Amino acid sequence: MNAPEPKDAFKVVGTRPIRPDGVEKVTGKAIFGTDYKAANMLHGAIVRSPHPHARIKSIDTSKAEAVPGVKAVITGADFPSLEDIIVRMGESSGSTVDISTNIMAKDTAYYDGHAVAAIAAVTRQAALEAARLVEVDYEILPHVIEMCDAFAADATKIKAAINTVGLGEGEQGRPNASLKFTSAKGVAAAAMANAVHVVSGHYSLKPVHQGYIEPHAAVAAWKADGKLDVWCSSQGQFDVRGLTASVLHLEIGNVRVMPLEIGGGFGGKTTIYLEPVAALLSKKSGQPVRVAMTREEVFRATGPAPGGEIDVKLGADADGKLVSAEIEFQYSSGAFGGGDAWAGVMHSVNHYAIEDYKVTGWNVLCNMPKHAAYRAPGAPQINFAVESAMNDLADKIGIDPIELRLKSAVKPGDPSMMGSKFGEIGLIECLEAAKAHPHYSAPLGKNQARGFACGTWMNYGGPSTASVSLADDGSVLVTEGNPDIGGSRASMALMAAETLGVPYEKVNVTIADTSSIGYSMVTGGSRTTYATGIAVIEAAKAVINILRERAAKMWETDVANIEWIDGSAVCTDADNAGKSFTLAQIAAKAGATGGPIAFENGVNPLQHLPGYGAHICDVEVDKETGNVSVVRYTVVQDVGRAIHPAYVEGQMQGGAVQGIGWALNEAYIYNKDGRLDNAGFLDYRIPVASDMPMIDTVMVEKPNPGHPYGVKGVGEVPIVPPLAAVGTAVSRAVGKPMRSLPISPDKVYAALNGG
Amino acid sequence: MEADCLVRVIVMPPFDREFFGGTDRFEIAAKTLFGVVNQLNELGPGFADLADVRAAFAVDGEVQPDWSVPLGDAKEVVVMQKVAGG
Repeated sequence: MNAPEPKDAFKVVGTRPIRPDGVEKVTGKAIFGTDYKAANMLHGAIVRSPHPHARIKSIDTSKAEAVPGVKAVITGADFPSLEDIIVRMGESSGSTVDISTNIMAKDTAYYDGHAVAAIAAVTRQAALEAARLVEVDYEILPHVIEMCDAFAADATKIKAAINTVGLGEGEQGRPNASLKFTSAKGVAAAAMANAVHVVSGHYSLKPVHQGYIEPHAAVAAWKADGKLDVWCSSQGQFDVRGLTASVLHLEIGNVRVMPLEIGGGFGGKTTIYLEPVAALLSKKSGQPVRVAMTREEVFRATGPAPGGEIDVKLGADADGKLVSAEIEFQYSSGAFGGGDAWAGVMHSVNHYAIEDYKVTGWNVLCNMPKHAAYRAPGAPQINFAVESAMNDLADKIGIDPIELRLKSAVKPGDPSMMGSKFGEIGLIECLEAAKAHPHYSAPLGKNQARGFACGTWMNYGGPSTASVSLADDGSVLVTEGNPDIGGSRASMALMAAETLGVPYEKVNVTIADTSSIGYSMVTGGSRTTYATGIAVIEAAKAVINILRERAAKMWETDVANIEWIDGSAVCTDADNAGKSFTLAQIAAKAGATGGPIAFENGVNPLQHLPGYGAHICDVEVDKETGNVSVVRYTVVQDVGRAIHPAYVEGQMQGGAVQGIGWALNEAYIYNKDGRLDNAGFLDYRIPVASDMPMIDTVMVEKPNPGHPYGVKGVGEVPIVPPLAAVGTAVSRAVGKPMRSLPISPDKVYAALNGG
Repeated sequence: MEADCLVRVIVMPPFDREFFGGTDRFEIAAKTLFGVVNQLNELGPGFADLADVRAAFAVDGEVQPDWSVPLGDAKEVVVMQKVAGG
């Protein structure tokens, strides 16, 4: 069954029912990470380094242990020594030693806020008091935070063992570079030399936080049999289980993770910070332990998205068709290896068909927390540079920015930078829809200007498990292994209802713990509605086959004589022609026809397709203060098929707002001592509703043939284009290129006043 | 069992330099992607251990998640790094 045309052939897919988890959440009854309480539970507190780089000479915990009510104190010495192996982290992978060291420093603190010890006590107050009494003797070491310092050829090396992977023979790395990665096709330099129009520029971005509202929290209970139970919110309980088991050197089957409701993740909750700490405190104290971060701890110790320094040069022929791209950039990765440079390279010009290009990215270590995924990791930064340069190119040639992009936009069948061919992608449709939108040609007011940008994210599929079972009264129970961040309960219920032919309200969706269903990869990478959706649809189809078999038994006929039509088994044999049993009628007889009706299904689909977005942004600049207001914003996106359009629109709007925040407001600010100065939402300014206009959305539906209902991932693309759309709009408003994010009022004021 | 299929294997960065000394093109005869991975591991020891976690494979331009599917008369296998989303 493929996506039907016309679209109204669907009965429930594409409708906008009330979300199943809505009432619990708006009434405050839903249990999030910090809400969960276990019987006899202790409270944790973490001691964190005040230094960005320091050797830990000694830790004296004796005074902390003497505080009344303290039950356990741990340091890095309590963590198992690990062989450095690469383990699965959702879609990516990571070093066990790096993950463990980021959770708790062993011999060196690598950033301001790095955990060095932890306490469990009968009250939070006692734990905090004890934490203040832990005496750490530090030898302060030189630190590097800014990219220009970290990437310098003579930079202070923050770790002795840094090795630049990916260098050519005889090529020199940089002291803090962990990866150099180049993707090249043809001869970019020669093609650039022959280009008629050439633009170039240097672009800068600061690291930003994912800005989820719910802080990290975990409750762990190390049981008498040596097994571990964990309750936490995350983007994937199975990967929390796997990573926790790796760091604590446990068998995966001995760790059970119970998923709680999640208050935002955006990629930042695809890794672990607290679970092993709570587990070791529980092991030592013999009681369950909860450890929760304050907002300040979230900012100081959890993953930023990389900042970047980017050089871009684009060349076009006389008509404006791109003929060459030469790009080199550096992304910060915090104090550990890995990073987003690879994804940055692969999303640089992957939306344009260019015969000759050379794109090089570096991952660079610095004294910040280990980087973490953030919505389309690595793509917004490089897109800011490339799409801003595209707008410069349009200006230089004197051509409409969308017309310029249409000359080089990729289409189905074109080769991707990855080496595979594009399937049914919808970039051209998005560009045409944006050009036709009234916003694109609307008049601008005083001190206003408009910017445009498009962008892409590859999306993903991967392993997911889901089950569908029926209760005696015909209730449909769907169980999935993916936390509901962006509406997976609703979308799974819609797809199950569509497949089975039952009302949406008959379907109940549960998110299971790690011992109750097979593995599912994280809710992230724009994969869940696509991949877990296929698991649900296929499980529902298997249940239909069971229902047909049971109906055949009840009519004493062959299953070949049973068709499934609109939620009922319809008999086609001569004796019972036209008779039908509803799903509920068959379910009621399950005991007499073979037992419970259920099917669990594991899948690993990779027929996902990239997503594309085209954004139009109008800004108004206050020339007295330099403040920038976004006054109108439109998001156009190829969404494949919108299962629940309101959720899809929400993803488009949310991603755009986060991108606008990155462009205008957000940045980590470290002082000269390497300490974070804005570790809170008062000083780290994410956009709030009152800052934003109503963001218009246009869903371009070009179905994915690789999904039964045409789904493409939608969650990540919308954060990619806003940086360049906003940046270009502000540049035009002030009359100067604004190539350093965030474009804060002081920068705008300086640009307006000759700075 | 089907006969071996001779395919051109293109190893994308960073695997080319990380495991194969910068060489990114190979001719490999194999029945499935398992055979391709095993032979790549002989050329670049350690590749097989990380392939499941870090690599994705496109057979004649289509991403193939199932390594056991016969290569048949395929012409090209591209080895690429998985992209991690958020």
